[in-house]
Amino acid sequence: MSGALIKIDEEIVTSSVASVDLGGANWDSSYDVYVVKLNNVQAVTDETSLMLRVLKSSSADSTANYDRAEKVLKAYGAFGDNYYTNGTELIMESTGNASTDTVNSNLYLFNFNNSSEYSFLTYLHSTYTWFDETRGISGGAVHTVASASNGVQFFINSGNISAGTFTLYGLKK
Amino acid sequence: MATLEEFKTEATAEIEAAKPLYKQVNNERFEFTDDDYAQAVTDLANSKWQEQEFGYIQARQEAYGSIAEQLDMQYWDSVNGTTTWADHIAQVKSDNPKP
Repeated sequence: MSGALIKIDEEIVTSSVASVDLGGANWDSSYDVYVVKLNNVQAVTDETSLMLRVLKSSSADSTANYDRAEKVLKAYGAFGDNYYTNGTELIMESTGNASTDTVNSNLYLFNFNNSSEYSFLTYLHSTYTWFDETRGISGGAVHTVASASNGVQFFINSGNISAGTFTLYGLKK
Repeated sequence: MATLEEFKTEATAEIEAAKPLYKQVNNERFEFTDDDYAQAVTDLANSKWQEQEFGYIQARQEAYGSIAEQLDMQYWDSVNGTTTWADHIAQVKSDNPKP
């Protein structure tokens, strides 16, 4: 059925890991648009950040080609803006280690199979932060390398991911 | 203030202490390869350096408060002849100094 989400890959973290790959060998290049769902992602270490890199031939690309802009919608104060160009990864969201400190997100991936276009992402996070506040983040990002990508890698800037479900879907044409 | 090289030394020690690190692929855990460990050191060092160099920007944004709150301070300063807003901004800058 057109518009259906077809599950391609799912990683359930139950023992601490430093990174999680979605796609790679499991990548199915028959879709134009992909959806990534993050559910209850937590870190081992408090006051850390969840990061993302795209996979090129199943390896995370750490070259300085990540641009992003986002709005931080805070339940606790004035909204903020985050932006940068030419980063070596995409900073997704703050992470903590209390049981309530979780990140839940939806990401859309565009152009990942196009070898002559940049890879585009949009994302929406809903988070209960390590400093015990609620916020949402809405943003867009581009990996400014004109080559095909075959997945994404999530990792923490300092330490391990302790829990979470990472699911990759293809959006059926 | 630490240099990026100093942060790399610090990050190397931290990653060494944290070994073994694992990556999850296809719901299996694999220990990091040498390349993965090298990348982890680079990432951690860069993260520390970024925080040192640019962390104050985020901290100041958080502490300034909303435009509405600041306008309210300025209004009451104009009514009462006080310097609440200027004092607040100066305090935020002082608390979160530029490196």
